[in-house]
Amino acid sequence: MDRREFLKTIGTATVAATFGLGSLERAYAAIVPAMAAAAQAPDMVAVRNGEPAALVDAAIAAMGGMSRFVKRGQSVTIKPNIGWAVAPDLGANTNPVIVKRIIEHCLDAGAGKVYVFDNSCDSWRLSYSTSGIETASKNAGAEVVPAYSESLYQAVILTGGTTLRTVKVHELVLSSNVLINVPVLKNHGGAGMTAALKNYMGMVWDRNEFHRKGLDACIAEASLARKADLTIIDMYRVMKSGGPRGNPSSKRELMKMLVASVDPVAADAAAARALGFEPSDFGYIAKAAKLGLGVTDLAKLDVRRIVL
Amino acid sequence: MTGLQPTSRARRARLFRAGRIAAASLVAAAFIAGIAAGSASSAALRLATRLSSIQLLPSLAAAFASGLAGSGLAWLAILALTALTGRFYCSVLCPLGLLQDASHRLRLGITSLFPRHVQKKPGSGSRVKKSVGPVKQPVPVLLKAALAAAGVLGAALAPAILAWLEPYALAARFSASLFGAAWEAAGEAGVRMGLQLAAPSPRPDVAWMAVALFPGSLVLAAAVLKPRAYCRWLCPSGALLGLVAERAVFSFHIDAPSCTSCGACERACRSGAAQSDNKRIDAGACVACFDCVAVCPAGSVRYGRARDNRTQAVLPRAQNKPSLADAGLSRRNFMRAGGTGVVAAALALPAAGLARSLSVRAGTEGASAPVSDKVILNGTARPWASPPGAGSTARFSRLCLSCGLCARSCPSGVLRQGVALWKSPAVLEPYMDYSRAFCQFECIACGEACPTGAIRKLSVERKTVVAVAKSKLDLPLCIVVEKGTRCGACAEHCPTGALSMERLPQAAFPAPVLDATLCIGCGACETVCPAEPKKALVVSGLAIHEIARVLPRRPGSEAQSAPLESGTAGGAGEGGFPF
Repeated sequence: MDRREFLKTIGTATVAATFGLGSLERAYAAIVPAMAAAAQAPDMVAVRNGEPAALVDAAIAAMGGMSRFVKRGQSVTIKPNIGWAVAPDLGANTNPVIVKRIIEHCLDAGAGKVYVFDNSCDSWRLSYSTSGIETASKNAGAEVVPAYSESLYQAVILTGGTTLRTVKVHELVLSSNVLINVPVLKNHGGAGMTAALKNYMGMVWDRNEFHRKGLDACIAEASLARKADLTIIDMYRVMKSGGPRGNPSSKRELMKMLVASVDPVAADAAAARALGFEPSDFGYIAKAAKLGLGVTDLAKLDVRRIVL
Repeated sequence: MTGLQPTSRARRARLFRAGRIAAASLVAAAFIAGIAAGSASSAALRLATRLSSIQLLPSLAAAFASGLAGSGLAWLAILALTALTGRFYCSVLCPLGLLQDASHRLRLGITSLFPRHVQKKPGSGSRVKKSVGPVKQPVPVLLKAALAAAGVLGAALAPAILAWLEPYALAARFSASLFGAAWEAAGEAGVRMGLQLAAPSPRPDVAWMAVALFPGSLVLAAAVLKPRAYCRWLCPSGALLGLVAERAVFSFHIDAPSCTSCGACERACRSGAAQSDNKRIDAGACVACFDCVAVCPAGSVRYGRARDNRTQAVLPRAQNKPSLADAGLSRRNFMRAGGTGVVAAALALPAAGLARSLSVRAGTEGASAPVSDKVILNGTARPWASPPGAGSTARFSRLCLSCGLCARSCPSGVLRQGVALWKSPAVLEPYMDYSRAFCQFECIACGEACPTGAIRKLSVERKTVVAVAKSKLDLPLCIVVEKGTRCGACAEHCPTGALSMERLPQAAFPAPVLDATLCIGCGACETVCPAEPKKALVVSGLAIHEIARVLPRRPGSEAQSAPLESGTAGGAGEGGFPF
């Protein structure tokens, strides 16, 4: 534990001093797998057959506890899907109970500050309130922050990006010590599926640019701005058609599942299967793997599967 | 009251005056804050909405719009209260009245900073006081009757013709333009400091701001010189309430035996009602501010039963009227002529509007020809769309006062006022601007805000099926077809399922397919469509709103995975995991 903490502190300080923010993600990419190996903790945990809070508890415990990711006094940014001004039980946004429980785990691990935001598709004020995430997050002790103003975003040069050379991401994505991506798994009219990588579109300012330049490439490259330290996919209630917003005839399944992973690409590979597809059915998954953001073959990872 | 000693009466009068000022300040602050903050603060907005719903002519218009049934009875309560107590409405509830008082106070405050202007010499001081004082010419009965009739008939037939004249609408537009812009500027700065003040940063329409500010600024500029000049000479609500207040049960009057005609009440009076020489207060003009009671050194000005008032009115009639000697090329006559010109112009506008409104009405509600008014959005001209609850563009154009409260309430900003839709008779009636934002599916804020009933309050269930516009897809412009890339932004945002992504022969990836019967015209598809320079989707307003078809709810739409025995699964595919 001490060694990990020491490593991370030294690493962060060195990188920040030497390269500045732009190179931070590379340092993280190098350090996080090393940390995981050192702690003998799994790369991915899948839990099913439980209620939202229990799924989170089991997944985080099996991952080695939240203290594996969050150190005392650190700032944490949690990025749920708060895209739509739609009631919580329709699977259009991340389940508020799951967001709340993750915040509580972060604070229990000693997080100094926990932030929650999303650049919503619907009116942000309505989406924050109707989704139930604003209230749940505030009750859990997090700070719900706005994302509607361009002045809150900072341009990042994407090393390795060919379609997306630069992208404006929310400043908290860059400034927080820990970034936890908490998407909900859904069918998606444009990208086919939305889960871990696609959820990054809510961290960027101009999502329309993704559509203009090509969704697959842009979704894959956006994570180069900063790879999430931890990805937790809400698969409790899964919208299987008519997504991402949902319409009266949308098909939904109560899957009661949740996936936690240090590898966002692997998390999306698992999500693709959960939705009834292959990872290769969604172009951005293979593209992200090629960029070194993770692996698509779950057999290469230490995956724990738990039935509650 | 007659039994009170002068000192305790003066104390009581000061208390009443302070109470009036406190109430008026609270109302003005709530109104301005609510209009300025709009959807950014639901609490402030609720207050402004409440205040707008108890304005005389909007409430009367709402009553007529709903067939004198169902709607609030604020107008009746205001008239009844005025018949009982006088025009408290004007000095406590009317936002334009309060804004005028504020601008006059501002003038007095600024003047007092430069004392040499106020006190030149003991003898000439009256000149300044006179110029700051109220307009004292008696308002012609015919004008009062005409304004009152315009107010009532306008509210009953076509409230839109009152858009240039009605005090609440003038105050609301003025506040939205001035204080709203200030709020948004502050909010944008506040975001950096972690404050969540601003509504989604709007693209300011400078032309709109100017047009919205102009009439209100004229009224306030007049008030700087002559307090409440508008209230006496132009306000239809004031004229109506004045006719009622003339016979009010309680009113202000002067106790003749104790009055020394010192002129204090007359100088203090903001509405030109107090006549010190005549020892008389014109109950029709008086706005019940209590200033005269508070300033009277002899305690002669009192508020009470009007019966007492009449016994004091013992002066010869001739003294109440300007003598013939005053006629000629005096300043007074010059002002009167100018005032008449302004009044004539103010009345001509609504008259022209009424004619237009009736012709529009005949055109569409007779179902012969659609409204031809178009609006250019995203570079494409198309019929404009009115908000859900308006019923039809013609009905909306007739009933809308253009106060703009709906636009301030709109959380996404799709409903806006702007000069793009310059239509007479309404000044700046709001329209759906799909180039900025789209209508939030389950939001009914505009209908809840509208004080005149131009936008009816719809239930959420109803609102989600009312079509105000229809989308039209130009597939060759879609980037899936044109550029061969994956998209689907339109179908992603479509709340009704009218747009879906399907495999088509002309595209490598799923391309949008539109079922317009499901479309409600929220505009999401057009707003988010990434195609440039022309969008692949154009949402055109419907002259008469329709009820859209709704996708059948999928039977058993929520499947459930089978529960399993607890435990740790081994490898891939075990324990019911698909991976």
